Amino acid sequence: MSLAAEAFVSQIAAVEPWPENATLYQPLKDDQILLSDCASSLAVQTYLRMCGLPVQVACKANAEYMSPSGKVPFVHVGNQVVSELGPIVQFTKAKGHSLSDGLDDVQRAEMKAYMELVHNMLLTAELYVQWCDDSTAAEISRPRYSSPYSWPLNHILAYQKQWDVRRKMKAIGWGGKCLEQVYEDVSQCCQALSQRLGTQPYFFNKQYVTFLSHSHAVRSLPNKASAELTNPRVQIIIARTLSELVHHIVLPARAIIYPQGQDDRLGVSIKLS
Amino acid sequence: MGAVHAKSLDPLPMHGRDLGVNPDDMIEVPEPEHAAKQEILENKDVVVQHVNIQGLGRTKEDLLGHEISDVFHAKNLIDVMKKAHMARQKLLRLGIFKEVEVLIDTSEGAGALPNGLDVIFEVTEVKRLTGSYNTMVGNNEGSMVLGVKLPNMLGRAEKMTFQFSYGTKETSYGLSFFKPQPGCFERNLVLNLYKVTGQFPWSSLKETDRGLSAELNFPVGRSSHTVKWEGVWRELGCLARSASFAVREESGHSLKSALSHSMSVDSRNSAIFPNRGALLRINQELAGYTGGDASFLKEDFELQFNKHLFLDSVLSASLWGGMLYPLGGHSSCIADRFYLGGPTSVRGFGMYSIGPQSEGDYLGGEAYWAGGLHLYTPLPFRPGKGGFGDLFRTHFFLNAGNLCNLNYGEGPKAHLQKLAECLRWSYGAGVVLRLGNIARLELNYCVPMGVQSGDRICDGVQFGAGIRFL
Repeated sequence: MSLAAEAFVSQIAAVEPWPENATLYQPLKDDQILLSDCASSLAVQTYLRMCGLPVQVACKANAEYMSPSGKVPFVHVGNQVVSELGPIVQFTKAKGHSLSDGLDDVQRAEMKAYMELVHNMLLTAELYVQWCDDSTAAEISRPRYSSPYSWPLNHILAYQKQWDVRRKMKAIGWGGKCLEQVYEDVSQCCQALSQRLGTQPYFFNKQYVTFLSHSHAVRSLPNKASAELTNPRVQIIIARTLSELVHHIVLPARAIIYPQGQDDRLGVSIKLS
Repeated sequence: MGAVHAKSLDPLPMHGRDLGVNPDDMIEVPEPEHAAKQEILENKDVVVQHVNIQGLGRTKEDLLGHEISDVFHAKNLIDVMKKAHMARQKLLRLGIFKEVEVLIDTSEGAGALPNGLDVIFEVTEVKRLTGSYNTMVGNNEGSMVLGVKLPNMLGRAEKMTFQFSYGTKETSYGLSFFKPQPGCFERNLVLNLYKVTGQFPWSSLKETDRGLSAELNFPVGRSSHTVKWEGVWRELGCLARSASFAVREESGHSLKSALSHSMSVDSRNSAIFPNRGALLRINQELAGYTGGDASFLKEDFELQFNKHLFLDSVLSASLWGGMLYPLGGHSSCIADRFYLGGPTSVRGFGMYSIGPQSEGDYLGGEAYWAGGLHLYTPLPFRPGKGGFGDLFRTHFFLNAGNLCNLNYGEGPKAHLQKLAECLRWSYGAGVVLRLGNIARLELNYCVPMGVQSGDRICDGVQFGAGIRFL
């Protein structure tokens, strides 16, 4: 967002308290949503829950087009619509809720760096695997993405999205990478996170968890949707290098998001060495 | 009337040009006076023996047989001239000839009857390819419009037109193929391929339609019918970040595949300022049974009566109505609903600014009706009579209408009640200008009444331009 828009949003946001009927919109859970969108949505949900802000989740087939920036998830709060994690964090900060208050400047900078790492590495890798790998794209991504639409619109929209993502990958320099290189990069990223975590329960003090990374980890683990990923190597990499991460973050995170144990997505238990 | 040359049947003076004709072969003795000559022309029986068309290049001859066949039935010379003139009009309306000249001559050659006539149409075909290039400047945008037309493409009055508009805000194009049935021009097939973009600030909505359609037009008695199939890929989006959430919820892509039928009976003597006659147009559309996401049944009608009163004034009454019934349990899409209000429908209200709305964005409604009563008179004191002044009229109007969503579970009585309550109406007077035979401009002073909360009004002076007015 531009500086002027940011200032405007913060001013408007600061005035009203968080309403009861705030809603988060994401694509249809069972048939349509893809790995990367699901991870982003989980990240936002966890953040809001950790801040203690109530939010309902609504699934809409056209959530991506409803969003003002074209990316899911987005929240509808009062009469404001804010999309993506970064702007949502700023929006809640303007309302006075924040998780990073206890951090000093150095830690905050470190936190931002790690968030950028997760965002640039894990999210981009997810997009790469989903759309640039031909078999995954043909068997999972395209059919799921276009499932709410009828012929021939489903093919048109799916191919349009694939071209868009591939163009974006080329623009950031990932176009020339092959799948093995991507797995290498993911592995390195996970190792860096694992090292940072060490044996502590959280990345930074008690209140602040890099929910983004754990949400990606949670999503990357075998479940009904991603079990169909043709190459399960991603799960193995993450499960191996993130053993601590899984123990200390994934399981508590599941408890946060699904307090009543409603999570039925994990169909396979993880063996950790 | 165009150029009609007629060589007279009267024999030329003996000492004039030598036609090699024996005076004893003449059918009747010619009268020397001019007045008597005319009388002979009218009473004289003739037989049209040959009708030729000269100047055909790529046009196939079987196309034209029907247009000129009537000339053979003429009984006397004046009749021949009238029928030849009508045939000329028919040939021109095919759109494949630039110029048509009629030549009526006596029959010559073997088998020529003494009272036989030959009618010759000398035609000039239009060029194979015509192009046009325009630049248009509108509201904060400019665009370049390129048009290409291929008339009479395959020789049977087929026409292909292509229009491409490239602008600062949007790009749109349209390709159209028209094929009439040889022998009956009113029965024709039109195929269209198009992409159009529209911006609707009253709903904070922008819509991009990419579609193709096939339509068949045919006359039945005095009515003309159109049966059409249309497949459209619609993309809706918010025009501004401040659009209401109800409009934001409609953003996205949808596919509409619809069959529609439309019937029109028009007995008016003119489309713009009719003095008499009536118009009835009924249109229905069924979407969803030939594929696509949108699923609904839509009906709408238009009725207009005109009556000429004393002193060149005309009383005109019109009624519009429509209903949209979503099928299959889906709710209707904002792009399919009806809109009401503005200088072309219920005057005195903002453009399409009547009915259900959310945060200032008008969402349209599933049922509507609108009625108007107009009195058209010539301008006071009739300035410019016989010329420019005839393009203007003053009019006094009374408009009323309503737009709402019906609860389809209830019976028809409840529907009628809902349509009758919260009636919006307005009255006023103004000046109307006719543009060609298609469009008109209006400048009115309006007083809106029955305004409901949420409607946007335009009381006072309102300007309107368009093709279809209530």
